Amino acid sequence: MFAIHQAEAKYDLLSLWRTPGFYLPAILFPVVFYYFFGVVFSFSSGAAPQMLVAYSCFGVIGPALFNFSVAVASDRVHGWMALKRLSPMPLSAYMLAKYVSSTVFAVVILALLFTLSAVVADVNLWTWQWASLALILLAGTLPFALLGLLLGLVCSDKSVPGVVNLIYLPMAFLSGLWVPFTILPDYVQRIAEFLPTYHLSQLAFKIIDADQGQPVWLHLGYLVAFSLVLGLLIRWRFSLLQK
Amino acid sequence: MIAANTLLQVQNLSKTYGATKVLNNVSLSINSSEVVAVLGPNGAGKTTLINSLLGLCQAEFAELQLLGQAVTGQQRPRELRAQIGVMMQVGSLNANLTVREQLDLFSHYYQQPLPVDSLMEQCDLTSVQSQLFGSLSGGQRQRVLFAIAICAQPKLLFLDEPSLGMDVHTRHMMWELIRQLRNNGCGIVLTTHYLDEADQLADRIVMICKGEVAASHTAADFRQQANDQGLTLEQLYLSSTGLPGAALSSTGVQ
Repeated sequence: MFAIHQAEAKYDLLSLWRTPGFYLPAILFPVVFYYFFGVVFSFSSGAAPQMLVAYSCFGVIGPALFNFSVAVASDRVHGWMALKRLSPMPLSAYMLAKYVSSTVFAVVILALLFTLSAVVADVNLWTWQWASLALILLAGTLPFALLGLLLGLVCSDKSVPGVVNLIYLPMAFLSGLWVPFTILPDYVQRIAEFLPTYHLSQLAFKIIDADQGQPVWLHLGYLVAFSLVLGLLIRWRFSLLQK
Repeated sequence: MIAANTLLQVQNLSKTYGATKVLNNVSLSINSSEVVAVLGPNGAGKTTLINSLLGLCQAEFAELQLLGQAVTGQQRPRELRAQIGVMMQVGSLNANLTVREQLDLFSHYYQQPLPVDSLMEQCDLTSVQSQLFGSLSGGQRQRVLFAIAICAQPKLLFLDEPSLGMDVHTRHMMWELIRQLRNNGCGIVLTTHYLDEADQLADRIVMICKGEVAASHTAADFRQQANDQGLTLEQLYLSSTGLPGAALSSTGVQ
């Protein structure tokens, strides 16, 4: 069984590696955005660590959302998923492979952002802070992977990139991942509290004491509840597709 | 009670999409070492029949036995799926993996798959083994899909219009492999629009029209009937399905 999961993950990663149209934007967008908005046009002299956390959060969400949504929609529409379902491959191998691939790309994005921030923006964190930040952000991609999976099961392969961008980019902006949360208007800040990006970023901001002061359980609870609701919707959509 | 060598038996299978009944009380059985060709016009329900048997879509049936196991609902247990090969009509693979990589990936799903090199040789894929699936021609893609369908040496094989887009040489190569599989005990369900393919391979011919079994004969009976009535196989097929064109065809008008 392990060999199936291993082979599935290996070939999913290899396939993505051969798709620069996927990984170049996924890696370069957060890094370039961070360089311009966090380093070159930094909003204040002390903002570089905050901007690092915000853009790291923005960066890791992208591969999880896009790898699941685009790949699943394409596999579904072109019959690849049906062929796999007819084989003895467990569904967990397919899902885990996608999650491993998006995590690998998320690690690359974090490595680039952490290095850039330390070298160019003089961000100086304790080792435990770097490690905690990476762990929280990587674990926090799960709800977004589920969101991507749901979109992949609902949208066509042609429409899914547009739909994902329509959700991902406004969600990132409204949660303060592009500009500091505190300079956003009050009504935007209130909207943000309903978004998973906000809650993940607040958990990450806690590591550098730059969060909005809400309790950890609120953010964790929101992300867990969001994941459970998505899980139910995915199950419903799967059953609908099989009719 | 079904015979010990019966690999598939379904009784009264029906499938509706909304208000439309796509399949109506279809019954079918396949024995080991038997090729059953399912013929019928576009939209007759051939692919829906295969999808229903495989659990890809929800259908109603009085009884369904696959490889000796009674099946209810849509789930097909993993140990069953491991013994069933499928080549779907609309089937695609990951465009960014090479032929060898695709076969290696699918081989990992099974306990005792054919060695990848041998599979490629049998399906005439060795020369394109390093090409990405996305860069292959239609016929080459069909060959890869066929290789995947047989890579586990299945006991039951579903082939949904397998020779679509294949050149003559490749069709004959595939026919030979199908015969070998049948001789080794495999039961094969083959849907096709090519009557010569059915004639070459089938032990039994089942004609489906408007979701119902319009006729079911052994291939020998089918040929005999055509001879007795002075018709070609194509003319007999058209008259059996009652489709427009039957009268014109039987009078020799093209």
